[in-house]
Amino acid sequence: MPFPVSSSLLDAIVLAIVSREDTYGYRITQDVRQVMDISESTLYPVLRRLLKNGCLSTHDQAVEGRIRRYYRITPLGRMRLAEALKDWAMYRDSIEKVFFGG
Amino acid sequence: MDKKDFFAELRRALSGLPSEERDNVLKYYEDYFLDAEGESDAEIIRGLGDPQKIAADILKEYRDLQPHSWQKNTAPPPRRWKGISPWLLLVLVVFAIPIGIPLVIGLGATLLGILISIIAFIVAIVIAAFAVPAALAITGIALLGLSFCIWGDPASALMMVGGGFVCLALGGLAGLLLVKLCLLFVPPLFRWFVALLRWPIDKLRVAFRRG
Repeated sequence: MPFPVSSSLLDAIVLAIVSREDTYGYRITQDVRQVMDISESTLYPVLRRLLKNGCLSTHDQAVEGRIRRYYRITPLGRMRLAEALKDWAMYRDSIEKVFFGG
Repeated sequence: MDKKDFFAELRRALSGLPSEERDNVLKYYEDYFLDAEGESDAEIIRGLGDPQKIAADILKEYRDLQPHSWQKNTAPPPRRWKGISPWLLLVLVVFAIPIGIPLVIGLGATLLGILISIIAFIVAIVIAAFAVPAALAITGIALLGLSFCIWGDPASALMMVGGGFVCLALGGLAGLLLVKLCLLFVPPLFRWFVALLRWPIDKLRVAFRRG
């Protein structure tokens, strides 16, 4: 992707992925990398930030004889995601107006 | 570099973090290695990059105390303490004790005196209020009794009976009036009195909650 990724966009993408179902670090990394070119180690600081903001929570769950840490979206995270979706729609519309005329 | 080296280096590079934060990072990457099933350790390490760089990014994020992404439209800057600090207040209170205690005792005694006199006043009024109808009623009964005892002159006896009935009736009426007045005035007076007592306590409570 030739456009730089802002941290707020990355936050929103992670929230959108986690909002679908509880999921874990590796899966989130792979899902984000489907849509944007980030390095594999970019995600931890994002997850940590969202945890500290109260947008995500973690819980440990036994899987295949070990404990895996899962991330879950909080009600606050859902609110933030809804705001981000609204902001995104406005941003997209204004950019497209410039690009393609309106 | 193998997986063991990767974790050793990461752990060393994160030594500046509180242990809980560091454990979270290590847990995240341990999960990451175990979940990346299709990839070899070497591939994973290549994808993740230099542990020093990973640690530097995490430390930078940790140092940025304010998470920046949502900052603008949500969290207002943390409220600073306005007015005097609680500690200064405590010191002031301690220093005020030698002056304050006698003052408080004097003030308390004055207030207690006023309170007692008010209560005494109310009690006196109540007693007086009850005494009037009671006295009238007793007079009425006494006159009735007397009129039967001194039966010498029928006319004066009848007059005494009449006077007794009048007194009894007046006593009864005064009693009814008193009951009515009590019902009308005692509850609001009582409420007013309670409110008067509560007012300074409420003020104090509000002041403490704000502090």
